[in-house]
Amino acid sequence: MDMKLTAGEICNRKVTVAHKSTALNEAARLMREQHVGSLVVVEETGDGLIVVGMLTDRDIVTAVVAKDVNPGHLRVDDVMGREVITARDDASVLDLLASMRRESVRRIPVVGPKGQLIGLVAADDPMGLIADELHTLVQALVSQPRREQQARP
Amino acid sequence: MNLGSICTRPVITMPRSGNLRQAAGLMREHHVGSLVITEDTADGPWVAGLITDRDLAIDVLARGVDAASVEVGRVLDSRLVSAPEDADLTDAIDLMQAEGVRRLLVRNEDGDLVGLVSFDDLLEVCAAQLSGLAAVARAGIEQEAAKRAAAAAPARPTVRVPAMGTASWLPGT
Repeated sequence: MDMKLTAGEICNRKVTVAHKSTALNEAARLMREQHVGSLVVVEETGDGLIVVGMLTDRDIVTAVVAKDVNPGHLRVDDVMGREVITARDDASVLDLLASMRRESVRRIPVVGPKGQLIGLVAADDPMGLIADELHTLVQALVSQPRREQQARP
Repeated sequence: MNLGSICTRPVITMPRSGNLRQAAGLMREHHVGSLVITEDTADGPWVAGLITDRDLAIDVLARGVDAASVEVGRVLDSRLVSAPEDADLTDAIDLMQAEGVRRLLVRNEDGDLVGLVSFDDLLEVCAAQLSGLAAVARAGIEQEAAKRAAAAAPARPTVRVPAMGTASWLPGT
């Protein structure tokens, strides 16, 4: 029994992406259409899609206020987070949680050895996992007296 | 733990006649992801709905309109899910699950809005409770270990053995 949980195994492989040059209102339209709160900003290379940033709905909100420009004239790279925060696909779930905490983010793109996009992990994803594991633990504790009764009736 | 002690107070509100640019500004100023929208009536301001940064960013920009030209009242989510401040954690979780929401308006006995509680707030409370239980378990283990250490080196008892061939008892060594 070897349950090794890595970022690559729990991430969501269906990721909505945008380019740095994508217009901001196009990015917003994409988010609405796909019912997501963020877009992974990528560049196409020979190795696949390389992650260059993240755009969240909150970034867009601050853009609407911060700029005197009509936000319809803005591009993704005018507004997206500057730092590229990613996790390797072989990182453990614990590493992922530590990264989210350290960087104060709720979502992290998961990348392969060449930095190519593999999926996205949101803070909600490990939650279900942690809750299930806790439930499993509780079940074990609850069944312990029953087991003892069966062994020593 | 009841909602009254978990919820965020006060609630940041704005009137429905305001526009989305103002809403975004308020959210940024107060570092919140949602605003309660009120409507002025003869009886004073009433809660009309909720607007989140998501509603704002996505609906408005996706439609390509200027935020300053959109009245908040047109975009708000008027499906209001509220709970009394004496409701507990379980009530709140059940309600969020049943209604499919991640935020609850918290009201007092008079039905007035007093706070807002989010999914994240509830998660924080649950996590604290779980940490508390873990600490109970750890303290238990430490106590057991301390007891075992004490039991391993008992004071030597005085053994009394009968002297061979006599009926009297002599203190042993």
